[in-house]
Amino acid sequence: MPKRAAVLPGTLDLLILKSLSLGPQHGYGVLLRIGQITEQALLIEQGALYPALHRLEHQGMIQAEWGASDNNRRAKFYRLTPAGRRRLRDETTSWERFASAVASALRARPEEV
Amino acid sequence: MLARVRSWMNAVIRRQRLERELAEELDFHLASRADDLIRGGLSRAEARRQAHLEFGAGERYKEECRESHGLRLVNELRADVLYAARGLRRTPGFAAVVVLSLALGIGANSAMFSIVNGVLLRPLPYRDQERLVVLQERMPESLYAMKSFRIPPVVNALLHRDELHSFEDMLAMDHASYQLVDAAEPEDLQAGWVTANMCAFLGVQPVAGRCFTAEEEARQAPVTLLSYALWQRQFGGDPNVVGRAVPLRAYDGDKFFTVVGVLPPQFRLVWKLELWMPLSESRNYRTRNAMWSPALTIARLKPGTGIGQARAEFQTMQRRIFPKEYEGAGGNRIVVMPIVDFLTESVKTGLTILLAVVGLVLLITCANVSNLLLSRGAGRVREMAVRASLGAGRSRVCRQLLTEALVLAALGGALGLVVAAWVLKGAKALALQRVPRLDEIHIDWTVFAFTALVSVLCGMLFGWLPSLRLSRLDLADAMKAGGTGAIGGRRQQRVMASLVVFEIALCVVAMMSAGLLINTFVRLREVDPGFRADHVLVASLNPRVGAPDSATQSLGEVLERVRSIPGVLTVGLSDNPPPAHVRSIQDFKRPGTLDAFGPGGPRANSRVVSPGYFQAMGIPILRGRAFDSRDQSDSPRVIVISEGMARRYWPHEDPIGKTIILRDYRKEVTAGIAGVARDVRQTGPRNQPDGLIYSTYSQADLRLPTLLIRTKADPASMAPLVRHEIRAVDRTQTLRTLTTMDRLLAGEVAEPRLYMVLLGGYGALALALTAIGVAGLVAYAVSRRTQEIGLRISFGASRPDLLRMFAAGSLKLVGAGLVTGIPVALAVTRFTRSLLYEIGPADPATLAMVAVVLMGVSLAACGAAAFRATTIEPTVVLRQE
Repeated sequence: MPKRAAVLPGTLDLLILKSLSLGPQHGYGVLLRIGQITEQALLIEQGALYPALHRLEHQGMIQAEWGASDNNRRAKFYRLTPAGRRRLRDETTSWERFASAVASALRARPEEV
Repeated sequence: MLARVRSWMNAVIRRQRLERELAEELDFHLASRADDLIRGGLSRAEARRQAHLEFGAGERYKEECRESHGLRLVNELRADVLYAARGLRRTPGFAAVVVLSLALGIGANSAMFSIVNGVLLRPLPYRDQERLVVLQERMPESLYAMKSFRIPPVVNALLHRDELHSFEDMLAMDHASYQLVDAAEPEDLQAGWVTANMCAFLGVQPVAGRCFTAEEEARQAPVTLLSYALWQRQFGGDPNVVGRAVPLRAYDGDKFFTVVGVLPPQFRLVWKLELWMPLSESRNYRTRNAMWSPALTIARLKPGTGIGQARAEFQTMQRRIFPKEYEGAGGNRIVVMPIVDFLTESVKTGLTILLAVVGLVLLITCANVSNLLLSRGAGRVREMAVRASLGAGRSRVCRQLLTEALVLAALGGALGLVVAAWVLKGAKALALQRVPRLDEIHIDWTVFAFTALVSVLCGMLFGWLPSLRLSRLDLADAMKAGGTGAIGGRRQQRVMASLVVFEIALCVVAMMSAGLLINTFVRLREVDPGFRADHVLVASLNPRVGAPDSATQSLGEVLERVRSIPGVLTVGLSDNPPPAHVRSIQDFKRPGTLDAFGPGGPRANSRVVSPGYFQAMGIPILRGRAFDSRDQSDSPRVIVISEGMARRYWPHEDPIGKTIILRDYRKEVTAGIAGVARDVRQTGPRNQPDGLIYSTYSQADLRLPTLLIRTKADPASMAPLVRHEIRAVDRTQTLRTLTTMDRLLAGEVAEPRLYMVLLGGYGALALALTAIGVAGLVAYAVSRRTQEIGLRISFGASRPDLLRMFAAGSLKLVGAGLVTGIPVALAVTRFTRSLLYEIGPADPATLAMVAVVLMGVSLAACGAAAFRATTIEPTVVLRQE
């Protein structure tokens, strides 16, 4: 497996929000989905997911509901709220801006400074 | 924002469920991961292990989840409270002392607050009560000393109602009394004669029937309103009482009054009266007697009119109507005051002083608890160091210590409510008659709220200093075996000492106030009333209706029957014995002088008595004789005068045998002076004795007779027998009063007694707390200086030397406390002047006693605490390096 990169602190929230935007899911499912959409390139400590989920729930970005999983076990499902959707949009924009700024900085050549 | 708050509240309320769900959620994750791993080929056990490994530290994540719901603060607080409770359980003695002293301080404050709130601050239950004022004519002080010979005529505001434009409406009332004779238990009833607009003016709705109308007042209809209590008591709450004709006996005969309505329970118009009739019952009112004015006149200011305006208008009117008397009346004051002030002015000063002193006691308690916590804190340094080393930040430690303080305060506050209820009950027992509205005060939610608030403030007050100091630690220093570093050092001791000085200063203030009032009460009690008050039973009779002759006859019969009761020594009659609150003034002239009747001429109080009066009351006849069987209605008129009157009007001669001319109902009567009696204080100890003219009841009209019965044994035990004999003569007698003279006189000083008891109690409490503070400080110093003491002993210091050393320290503290406290005390006690008798607010004797007692008690406390120092073994302490 190629070496996985560590997750920067603020980005876990962003990944969670993105993954829930693709449809409601329980905590384990969110983990699997993040793995899917990042093509397993990130190293996420599994337990760290839950404080992030609870924090987002506390802030009203996501909403929780108990339901039945695929194999009929009781699980806590999360879904995105309108506020969460807004947050996702804003964070995505700032992320892209940040990423492009860093990328352009890294492209700088000695003669440009 | 709202979402966060909701989530937080949800988390706090449903803690258990949150925990369960959290556990379930994480278990689901682990199970799902394990399943996937099993599908991938691992064994069950291996899959589970792997899943756990991948998950990470479960507990830490759980904690972080809890935190993310904002529960951290709540959890920490909960932990702190439990920790504090455990700590207190380990030191029950300390906890008990602190909680008890806090309970006494907080409880006393809550009780006083509820009294001040209920009596002084609470609005009255009348319509638009903030615009209500009382119009009152005040007798100048000089009248009591008979220096001024004029009773200023009174402006009857009611008669001039239309001329006073500041007021939109006016109500007036006068006092009356009736007997309800046609009942199983005949009763004496206090009544009010009031203008017909009473219900509308006050905004009161009768619970049955209606109020009387202006038309009924105009045609002098004999109608009446019943009080709720009377309705229940004598009429059984019968709803058909409206319209019933009730026979009532007044001074001038029996009359039937028709009941038109019943007033609500707890209704009062300054006084709680049983019957209300229209003011047209008053002859003075009907005849528009210019020399009379109602007992109480209340007016409502027009909206937007200030009280100053009303005052000016009223004064102008007075000046216009009675120009001569107004100018020369010297001290006549027309008072226009808000109704609440009128009700409470007599008690405002006293209650405020009490509230202040009680606040001082609480401050002293807080200072004490602070010191106690500081000295206890020195022993917990290691505990704090360990906590700090485990990662607790300074603010966390500080918060935990503050929580401890608040727990103590909360316990103190809870117990304080019990104390408050008890103090309130005591206050009611002592002073229900004298303090207006006291009976309406109960422990209610405002008291709860106040107690809670005061508890929290106290906790913060005494907690902040110890928390700050203790959380400021030098870790390495603290962990050293014998070292406590900054905690407990010189600096801490100086802080504790200044707290004790502060306590002492406050104690001086409290003790000075208490001392002045105790002094006052003692002096009042020692005042010689001029007669012998012990073993006297007082029975006030209602007037017997009928011709004066038959009245005298039946009075004579009553005297005989009562005199024949075994155990009765003598019986006397009087129309207004001391403690008298009513004055009847008699004008007189000395023949052969320029004396004239009327304002400016000689006058004295008049009293009609039976011959046995002087003996029954123990009033010695100084010269001449008392009345006897010689003085009948057909013999020459004689009087007995008081010695003060003799001194004033016959300064250089013997008045015995001289005659004066009395004005008796517009007739002139010549009377001879048969005797001179000792001066008697008429209206309680505060007023100087006045000139008195005694007449005998066979020669003058005795209107409202009171029996004065001197008994051999305890007078109260004779009461039933006396009542029986009186009723045997007149079955309808209701006996307005039947009590002992001692109790009546005690009632005169009920207010000073109340202040003395309460202030004395609080002053003593302040002293005790301060003594504990001093003892605590000295004990602490001893424990800190054991090595120094050991050295001193080994160098030859003896026990007295050591005690002297500590005593000198205490004296310095007390001195500092006195120096700061005495000026404050003098500034505060200035306000007690109106409560004092014969001493000034800066009475040096009281001040000296306060200082001496304080010093003595402090030295004793210091000595007790320092005694331990003398038992130190030098070899033991010096070895403790």
